[in-house]
Amino acid sequence: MQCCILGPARNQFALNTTDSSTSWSPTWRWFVSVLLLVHLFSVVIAPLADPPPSSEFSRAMARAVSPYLQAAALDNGYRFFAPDPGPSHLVRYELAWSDGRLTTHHFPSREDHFPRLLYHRHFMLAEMISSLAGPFAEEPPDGFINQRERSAFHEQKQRAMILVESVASYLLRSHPEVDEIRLFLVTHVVPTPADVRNGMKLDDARLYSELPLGRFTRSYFQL
Amino acid sequence: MIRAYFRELIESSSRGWNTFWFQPRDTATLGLIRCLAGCMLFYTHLVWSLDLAGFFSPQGRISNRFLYDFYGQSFAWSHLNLVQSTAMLWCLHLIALSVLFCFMIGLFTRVTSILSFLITVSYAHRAPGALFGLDQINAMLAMYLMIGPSGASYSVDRWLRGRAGERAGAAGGEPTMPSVSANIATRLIQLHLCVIYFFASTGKLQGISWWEGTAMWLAMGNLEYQSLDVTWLGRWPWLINIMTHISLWWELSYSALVWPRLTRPLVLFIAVPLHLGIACCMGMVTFGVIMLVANLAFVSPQLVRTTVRWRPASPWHTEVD
Repeated sequence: MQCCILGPARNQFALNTTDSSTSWSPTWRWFVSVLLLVHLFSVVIAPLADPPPSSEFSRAMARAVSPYLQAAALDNGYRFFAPDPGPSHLVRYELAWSDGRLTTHHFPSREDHFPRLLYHRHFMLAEMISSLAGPFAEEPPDGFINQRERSAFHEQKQRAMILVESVASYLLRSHPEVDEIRLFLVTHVVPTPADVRNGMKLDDARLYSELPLGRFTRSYFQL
Repeated sequence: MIRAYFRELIESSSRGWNTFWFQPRDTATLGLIRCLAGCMLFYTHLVWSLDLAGFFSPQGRISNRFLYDFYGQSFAWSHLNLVQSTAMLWCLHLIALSVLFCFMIGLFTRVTSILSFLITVSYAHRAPGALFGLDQINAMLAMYLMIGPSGASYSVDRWLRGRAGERAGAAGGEPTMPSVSANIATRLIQLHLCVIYFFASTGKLQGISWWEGTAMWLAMGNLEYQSLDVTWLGRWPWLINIMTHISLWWELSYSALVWPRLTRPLVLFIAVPLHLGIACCMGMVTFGVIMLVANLAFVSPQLVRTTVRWRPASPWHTEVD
C-alpha cells in the first residue's frame, strides 16, 4: 500500500507517463541542463563568497557571475541569526521645533509602525545604519589595521553618513516646523538569563547605550 | 575494470540527472505554492503602501545618492529609480499591486508571473536598507514560479480553461497535464532551500552562542524582535539549550535528511514549530510563513490534491490519471 504522506517510492512526485523521458528533446535537455548548472553554481557561490570570511577563489567566482546575481537579487548570504544573534539597534532622534520645544522619537516604534511588517522595515533600516556606522565609531589607530582596511573603514564611514543624512533629510521634510534634528544610534543588549532571574527587565536602562550619529539643520540640506 | 566503472558512473549519473530534472510532474504543489506565495507577495507590497514615499521616493529615507554609493557599478536595477514624483510612484505602485493580485489568484499567470518576479526584484533593489529574509525568499519563489506553469492548478486560468473545456463537451473540463517545467521549478525551489538552510546553519557554527546553547535566548529575549514574552525561559536554561541545539541540528541536517522519503516527513514536521516559533515569538510572521510555503516544495502533489479537495466536481482539481 502506498503511503500518502511519503508519496510514491520511486520517481518521487513525478508522474509515470509513457513519454516521460522523451517529452523534451535531447538537445533541449542539454541546453536546459547547462542553464541549470550555471544557475545552481551562482546560487551556491553567492553565499560562499559573501559575507566574509571567504576564500579568494569564491570571491573571484562570485565576481564572474555577479551581473546575474545582482540582476536577479540572488546575491544573498542567508546567514540568518549567524554567527550569533546580536543586540538590536534603534535610531533615536531629537527634533528641535521652531517654537523652542525639543521632542524625542525613535524608530522602529511599535506605537507608530503598524502592521508588524512595516515595523520590521524600520527596524531593518536601523540595523543597516548600525552595520555601517556602529562598528566604526572610532578610527582604529596606526598599527591596528592595514592600508586596505583603513580604506574600507573610510568608505563604510562615508556610506553610513550618506544614509544617516538621507534619513535626517527625510525627517526634516516630514516636519516642516522643525529647525534641527539630532540622531543617535541606540544599542540594546539582551540580558543574561541569570540577570532576568535576578529581576532585571528586558528594557532596563543599563542595557542601552548610545552613539551620536549627527546633527543637521534645515540649511544643511538647503530646505 | 576502471573503464567499466567510469562508464557506469557516467551512465547512471546521466539517467539520474534526467530523472531528477526532466520527469513530468503534476502541477498541484506548484499551484498551491503560487496561491500562498502570491498572497505573501501581494501583502508585502500592500504594506509598502503605508509609507510608500518614505521608502521609495527620491526624497525618502533611502536617497538616490545612497543607492549609487551602496550599489556602485552594479546590475541591481529598479524601475523605481526613474520615479521623480509621488504621483508617478503611486501610479506605478497601483499597477504593481494589480499585477500581484492577478498572480495571486492565478489570472493571466504566464504573464503576471514574469511581471511579479520583476516587480519583487525591482522593489527590493530600491529599498536595500529595509530588507530582510522575507524579501530574499519572496524573490526566490517568484523566480521559480515564473519558470514553471504555476497557474496550471488552483487558479482562475485553470477555472476558465475548465469552463471552456466543458463548453466544448469535455466532462469535468480539460485535465491538468503533468509538466517538465513544473518539475524543474519545484526542484529548483527544493535545491535553493537546501542551500539556504546549509549556509544559515554553517554560518551559525562560527558563533559561540550556538555552541553554548544560549542563541535561542539571545533571539527570543530580544525586546525589539519579541512579540510574545518568553522571558520565563530564563528560569529553564536547559530548555533554552535544548531548543538551540535542536534548531541548529535540524538546519544542519536539512539538506541531507529532506531527500530520503522516510526522513522527509520528520524534517518537514519539525519545520512547522520552528518557523511558527519565529513567527509567533519573534514577530516575524511573514518570514516564518514564507519559509513554510517554500517547504511545501517537498510535499507530494498527490498529498496536495488529497488535502485541497474542497469541491469534488470542480475543474480546479481535475485528476490527471
